Amino acid sequence: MRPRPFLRAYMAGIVVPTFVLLWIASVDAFHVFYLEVPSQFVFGLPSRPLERAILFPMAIVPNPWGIWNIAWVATRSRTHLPLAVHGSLLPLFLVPAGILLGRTLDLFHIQMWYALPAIPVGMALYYLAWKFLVGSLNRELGIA
Amino acid sequence: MTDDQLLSQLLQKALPSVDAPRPPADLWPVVVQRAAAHEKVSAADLGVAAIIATMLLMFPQWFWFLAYHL
Repeated sequence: MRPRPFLRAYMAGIVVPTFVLLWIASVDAFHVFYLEVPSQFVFGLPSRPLERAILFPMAIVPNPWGIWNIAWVATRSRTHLPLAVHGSLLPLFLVPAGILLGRTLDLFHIQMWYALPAIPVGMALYYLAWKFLVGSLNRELGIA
Repeated sequence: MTDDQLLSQLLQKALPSVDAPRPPADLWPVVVQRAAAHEKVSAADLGVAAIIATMLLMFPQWFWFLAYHL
């Protein structure tokens, strides 16, 4: 058995949101530097420019993914929960945290009633992401 | 007889030999197959993906909201 399974679980967990962030940052850079259109005129959300709003996905989201993967490794022998189901529960914590942080830092104000219908879609998205992407990385690192 | 040979003989006497039964077939290909196995896409997964796509087409403003939390 390979050592340090929690470290490998954390590393496997943070990869996917880090890549998504790279993609979002690339789209934003394309709009700002090539099209010279600030992001608040492109995105549907009534947000400040992405440079401020990106604090949450950049600094915070990858860490819960890694910690959530550690939690799965630590509890799977007791819960027998499939990785995809375990991952799909993460938006139940992330979405309120993101909204709370956005309000606290005065980045934007999204009402909870607006966010609630999107949470099941987010959970479904997370189900697929954790099943195929994080699961694949976990197998690659020998912790699946 | 050197010390190493003596030690080896003593160890062999002290530790009983293991008579483990041989596996009926070579197990290594099974190990390799399991390590290389990919998660198969089921009909349920395709259904979930279709629901996500439909919902995002109906409510495109959710896209950036969800991307923000990824």
